[in-house]
Amino acid sequence: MPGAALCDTGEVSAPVAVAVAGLVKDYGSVRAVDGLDLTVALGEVVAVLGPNGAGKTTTLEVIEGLRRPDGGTVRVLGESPARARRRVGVQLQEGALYADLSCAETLGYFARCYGVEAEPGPLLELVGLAGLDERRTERLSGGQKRRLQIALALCNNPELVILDEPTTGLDPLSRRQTWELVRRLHADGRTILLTTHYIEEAEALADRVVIVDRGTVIDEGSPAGLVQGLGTVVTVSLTAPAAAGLDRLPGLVQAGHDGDRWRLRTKEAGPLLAALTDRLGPSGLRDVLVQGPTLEDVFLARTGRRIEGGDDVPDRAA
Amino acid sequence: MSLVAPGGHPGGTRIASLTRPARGGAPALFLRLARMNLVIIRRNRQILVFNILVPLLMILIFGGLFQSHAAEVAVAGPPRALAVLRSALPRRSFRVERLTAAAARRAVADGSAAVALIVPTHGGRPLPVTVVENAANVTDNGSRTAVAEAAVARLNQALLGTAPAAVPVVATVAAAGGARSTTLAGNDYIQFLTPGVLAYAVFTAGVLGAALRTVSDRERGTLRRVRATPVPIGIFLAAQILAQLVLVVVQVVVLLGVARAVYGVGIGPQPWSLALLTLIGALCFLAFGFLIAGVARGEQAALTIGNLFSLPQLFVAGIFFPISQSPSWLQALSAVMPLRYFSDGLRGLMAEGQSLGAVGVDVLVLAGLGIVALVVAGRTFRFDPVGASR
Repeated sequence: MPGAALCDTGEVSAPVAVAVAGLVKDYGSVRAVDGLDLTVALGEVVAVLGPNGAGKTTTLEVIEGLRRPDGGTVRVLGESPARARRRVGVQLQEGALYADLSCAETLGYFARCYGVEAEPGPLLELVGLAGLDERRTERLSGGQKRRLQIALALCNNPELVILDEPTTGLDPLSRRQTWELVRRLHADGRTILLTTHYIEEAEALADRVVIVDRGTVIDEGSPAGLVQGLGTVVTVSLTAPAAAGLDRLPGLVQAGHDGDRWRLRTKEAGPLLAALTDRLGPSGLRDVLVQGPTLEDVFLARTGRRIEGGDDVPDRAA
Repeated sequence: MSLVAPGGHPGGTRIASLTRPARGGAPALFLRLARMNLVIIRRNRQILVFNILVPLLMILIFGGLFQSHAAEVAVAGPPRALAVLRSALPRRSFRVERLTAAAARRAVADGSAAVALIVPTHGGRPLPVTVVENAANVTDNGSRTAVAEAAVARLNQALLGTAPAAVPVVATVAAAGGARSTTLAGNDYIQFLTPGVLAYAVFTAGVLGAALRTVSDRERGTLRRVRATPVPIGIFLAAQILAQLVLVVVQVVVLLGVARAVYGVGIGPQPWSLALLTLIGALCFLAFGFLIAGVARGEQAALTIGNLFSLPQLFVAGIFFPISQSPSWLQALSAVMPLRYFSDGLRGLMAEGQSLGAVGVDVLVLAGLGIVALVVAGRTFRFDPVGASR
């Protein structure tokens, strides 16, 4: 592993793909990243989870060598970000395509920028764009463009793949295909660093989740470990009149409603469901959904806020 | 097709087998990127319309409007002088007729000839050719004299074997009563207009083309994506510049080719000087384009700044009419416009048969402005969309 550094995890020294320490980045008077620490081991999938404006993209751009940090240190595959570019695949959040070039030409262009020649057909097939070699990028749908950008992130056979919100704007099927691709890249032994504000995405893909808010890391660990750290909080959602006074039921950790949609959090679901049946009657329990704790609950517990956009994923991870 | 890597993890990919190191190093990279940039230019109809079709229509329409007749040139002198002048003056624009000296003067006075050249039988010295002009055609006489000077130089070369700087003697005759208006303007105008339109085409391709393309790429995030690769930025930009220069070559070939085929417009005696001046002008204006891209906050701003920069020059830099006919304040204004120097230089080489040295001031001003623009562009160039931060 050329140039890879080692990190002392406290138990054993693991080779490190990304080592960020005390990162600071300001935009004028606004501090976007405030002393952020992030370590990604080789072969690991790490999801940086946080709301919009948390500093996720800025952190990634510093790691990609696109922005200079105002403070802290950044090493990528044992090198400076600029020197590591040849070994890193990047999918940016926005645009980045020449409208007048075809998919194959776009891949060829960027591959050449990395000093390699790439076979566009199989690469496009890999990201679900089989047969679109000759299609101009301006004629691709939003989801197809996003997948072509992911193909660009792979065209240099990278050791480290950085994906910035890779499934934002994708339909459920495309999202699942992208998740499957990430899993295969992981199975290949590639290191993957991605950002997302989708809870399910982080839970489904990441070995480790780094939760970021206001430019700093507020928690990190495996998805299961983070959730377990909360205890056994269960969320019961149901439809009931806003005036039903369900927030006065016993055993609630937290309660609230948006119109007639209630969201009740408790440590034990059984007694709460029994109490709800008593209060509303058996026929009054409508659209009941019982969920175990998620990373959303972790974020809520740490910040008192929900992750913006994190609850609009229409399907849950398999 | 299976995407499982041979011998690899069953859930893995085979990306490693889909890529191989590129050969050829930096030169091959440069040429490949330039070729892709050319593809982008070729597929962009707006670029082709505004950089080739519009200037071509300018030449065809304006040339057609003023190409109503071939000007009569009355020549009084030995038969050989007549033959030389017939070959020296574009046939589509000038009809050369041999008369006696007195008849030639009368022809100019009554308007049946636009100009008369009275050539004495030579005695081994530079020929004291007399150019007879009509005093009524005051606005046209400057260009008439220039044509006559070029013709006289050819005469000297043919008759004496050398080309001494013989300045013809200019004489004017009063317009005869009831004389019809006769002008060389129509015929000279296309020769005057073509270098100007060519200058403007190269100018807009450089300034607006580079500015809009760069800002568009920047705002789309394409420049940032390129920045995330290890490609040397110098090679990336040089490839864009080369593609832009190829567009300029196409402009030159198409515009001058059509102007020559339709109106017999010549490119002057020094095509390599013309090529060099065009190259310097194109690079200068590309630098201005990159400069505008650097200071503009978006595509609309780049378009506005580009138009504010270019449109006044279209009208004041002497593209459509000689700047010498403008009020003095307008002439002073045009002196700060880079397009004027490019236009004047091209016109000097093409229409007046001058050497590169004779238009040296134009060359130096263009080169100097280009270097200044390049330095400022280097300081203002941005890869990131304006306001991109998260």
